[in-house]
Amino acid sequence: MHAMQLSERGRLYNYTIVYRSYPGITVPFISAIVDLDGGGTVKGNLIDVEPDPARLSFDMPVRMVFRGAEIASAEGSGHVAHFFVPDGEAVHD
Amino acid sequence: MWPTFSFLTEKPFMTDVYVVGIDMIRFGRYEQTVVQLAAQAALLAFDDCRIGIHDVQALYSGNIGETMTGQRTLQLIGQTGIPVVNCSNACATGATAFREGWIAIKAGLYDVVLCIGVEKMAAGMIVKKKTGNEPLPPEGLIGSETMPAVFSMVGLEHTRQYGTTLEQFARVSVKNHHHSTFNPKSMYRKETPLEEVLGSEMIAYPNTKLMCSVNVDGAAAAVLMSEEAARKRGLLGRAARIRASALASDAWSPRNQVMQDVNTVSRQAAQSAFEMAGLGPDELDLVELHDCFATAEILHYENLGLCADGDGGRLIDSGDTALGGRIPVNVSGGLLSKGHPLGATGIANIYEITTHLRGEAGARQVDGARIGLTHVVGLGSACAVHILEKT
Repeated sequence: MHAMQLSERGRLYNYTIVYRSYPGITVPFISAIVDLDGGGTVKGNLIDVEPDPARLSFDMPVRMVFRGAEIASAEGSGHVAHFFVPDGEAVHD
Repeated sequence: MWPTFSFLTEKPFMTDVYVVGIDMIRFGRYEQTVVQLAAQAALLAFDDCRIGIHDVQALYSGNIGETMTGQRTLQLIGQTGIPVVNCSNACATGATAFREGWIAIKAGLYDVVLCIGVEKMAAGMIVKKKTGNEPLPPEGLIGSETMPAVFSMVGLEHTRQYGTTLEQFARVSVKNHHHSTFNPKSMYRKETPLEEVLGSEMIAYPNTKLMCSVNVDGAAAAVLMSEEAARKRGLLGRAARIRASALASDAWSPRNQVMQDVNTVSRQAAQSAFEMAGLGPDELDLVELHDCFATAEILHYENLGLCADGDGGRLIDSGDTALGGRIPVNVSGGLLSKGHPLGATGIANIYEITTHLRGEAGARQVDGARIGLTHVVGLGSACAVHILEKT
């Protein structure tokens, strides 16, 4: 095994907007599948964008950020989790 | 006596296997226990072929929610001491139990076996049980793992690739609810016009509530026999010959560790089944496929070869998969309206096909049905495909 550095930037491969989840989970939220630039696929919440299909497009550039898990989970206090945000400044080929 | 074949050059004689007795209880909500429902279905299947528990040499029981369901069912219908195998394989559970029965007769071990699928479900969404060692539950934090979310994503991947629309997905639900109005064993029997499907509560975009299957109670059972046993009892006339029984698990695909892939596993099982049966999708007269969500049916049209890749949306628009069309799909009402008691589904869809092959499907009969296919997918993943032929 060897360590690999994955990119923090990528593109939205796929998503769904979740309106009904398990009891106690705050909805709606965007469940996203992101293909990272240079390889690797990661699942996570896409935040800082309205959960509206009109605001989302396949392959839109996104960036991985790390924030306190309490923003998405009632039990998250004291944990850090990865999230995706739209990546306006990204330069992609 | 030694067998006369060589292992290297010849195959040993293998009997054809027949569904001779099959039935299901109407899907719905019941006060009775899981095993009471299973026993009811088993007795209906016995009545269908005029046999009793003393004729049965082995039981294959499919159920997810409980343990030792098969043995406890026998406590109600006859503890004859036969071998019992309990199967759990997600939504492919019933079909897996059925297939184990088929394998046993193929292997020459038994002539008469009973296969049961049964489930009691809580109403509403399936909530995953906590495993105990998760520091933080991932739901809502690292995306979503709910069934509606999984199958909505599967649908949107199709939209991404082929431009499939929300209306096309919704039309699957309109069709299957319409079919269920002709099926007295369906949980729901109501028309749901397109506006109603689109206007119902959004669960996970693009699946609305009416595009999600119904979690209900149900049981279905089948009696399988070897050709000789069926002929001796005069049962071949109403029997369905099992032309193929295929099971696959999910092969690796690029994103399936983070995004469920129901396509690869379905294609693999379908291909094995068509090869085993020696026929192709064009020769099918009807199909019961795993419409756990409306989005899924469109993908499975392509996975099962009912149309070319990318044409699933056009196929639903054409009306070809509706009753009276070129290749009717889910004339039972499907999981969307008939209901989806996980362990029972894989035998209930074989009941549907067999009923059509017998010409006994009443108002929803597919005229002249000779060959039918069933398909179920359990996440994790397991896919079972069966092809049945009129005798």
